[in-house]
Amino acid sequence: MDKWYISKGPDSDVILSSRVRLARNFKKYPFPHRTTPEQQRQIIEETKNALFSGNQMMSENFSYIDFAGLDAVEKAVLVEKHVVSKELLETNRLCGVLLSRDERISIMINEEDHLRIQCLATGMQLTEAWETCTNIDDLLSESIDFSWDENLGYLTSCPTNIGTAIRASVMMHLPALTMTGYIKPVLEALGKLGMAVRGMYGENTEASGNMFQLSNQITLGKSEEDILLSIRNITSQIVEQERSLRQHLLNENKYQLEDRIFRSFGILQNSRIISTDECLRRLSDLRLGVDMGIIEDISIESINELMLMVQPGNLQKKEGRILDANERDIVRAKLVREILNKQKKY
Amino acid sequence: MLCQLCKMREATVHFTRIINQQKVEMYVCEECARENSDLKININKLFSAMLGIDEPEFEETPFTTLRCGFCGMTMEEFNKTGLLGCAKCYDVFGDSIHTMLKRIHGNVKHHGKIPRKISDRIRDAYNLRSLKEELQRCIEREEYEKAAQIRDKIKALENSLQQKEG
Repeated sequence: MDKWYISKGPDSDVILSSRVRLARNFKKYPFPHRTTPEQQRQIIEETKNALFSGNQMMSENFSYIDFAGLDAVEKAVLVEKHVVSKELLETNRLCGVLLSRDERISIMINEEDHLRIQCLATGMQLTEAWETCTNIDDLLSESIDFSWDENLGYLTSCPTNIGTAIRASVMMHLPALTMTGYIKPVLEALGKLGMAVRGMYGENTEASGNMFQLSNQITLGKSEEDILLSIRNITSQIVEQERSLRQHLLNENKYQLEDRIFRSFGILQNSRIISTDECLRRLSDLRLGVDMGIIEDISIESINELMLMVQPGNLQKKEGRILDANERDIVRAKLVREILNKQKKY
Repeated sequence: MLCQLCKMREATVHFTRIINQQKVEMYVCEECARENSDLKININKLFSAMLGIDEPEFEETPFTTLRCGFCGMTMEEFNKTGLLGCAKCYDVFGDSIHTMLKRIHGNVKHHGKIPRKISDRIRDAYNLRSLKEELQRCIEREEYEKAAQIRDKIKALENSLQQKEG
């Protein structure tokens, strides 16, 4: 079975993936940072029971990964796949994650809140992701009493998350907006609309590979459906702008655009040493070329696979050993050459 | 130490007030503190009553050591980490949190999902109320046969609710 992140989804020429995350806390325990190890252990046990007991489908589909048992590379792999957050790695608490076999659904235990239920999907599929999350929430709440208040909704460790406790995000590829500089006013407008935007890869607001993640900031006062609707509406507008700018670039600067794309393609096919940062930048150009039909014999699926596999954790996992930065740059270049030149059939 | 206001519960809250350039300290329980914090005037009346002063002019200093009874979190710790300790903290630090929430979300009333168990309970309570009102109306209109049917429905609903609780 292909992993979810390889296949294409709706609007995949601009939107790579959608994600919905719900935070939930047990009523009877303090929030994670004030729990004892014994309570942390109980929270893990009770969550597993709530998910598995009397439910064969869940038992077959999910497995529990105990963080204590993982080495640095395996932890990095999970973060790179967006299955767990970096915060979960940095805590001293007993923690872990319940992960579905296709790696689309994850339940993080004892991060900032007791439970973080998360569902990922390719392309623009916020509604589907939300439905999966809310179903799991309903299943768990049959055995677990979650903290919920009539006025404040679901209670979370950080007040910025209470109410619906939902964080919905989309990951977008915006090369045309970035190249033309129009990304700046877009980012400013998004801030004013109560949306958080950050670069997906690279530090803080840096956007390696022209990838941006858009998510809601407000969680209290609106219903989950309204929050999803806002994101969907705003995202459609951005998608339209990106598409029209791409067309504009092709019409006005055809040779410059093609040159940029083919140069990147050439480097990816031939380089012997390449850093993560440069690799993601080049892959962004390549993806643009494939989306616009300028490059024809490379599939989007292979680019999706590469974007994950060239990252440090996944790269080392595939190689089967720890690599220092220089070694990684060499192995990365080799992997890219192999996949692009072989062009695996999907 | 017992609460100086109600003299019944354990004092867990410590107030400091400056009244006529005098520092006055009070030890009260959480309930009295909360009741009086909504009406700031009352607390000051209490102080002035204690000191035998009529309509004093004074300065207020904020609560010093408000502490959550369930997890032991203090306002100071919250200011440092930005994280609350448990669900009860939202009650205990009510006012300050309220202002913060307004600033963050622009709103302080939840309009989203209700957990299934609770929404079931709310719906059942609503149905029970509606049936009882209908029963009353039937009795007034002297429709006794219909009233008897409704009374049976009410009994059945109350029984099933009892079973759910138990």
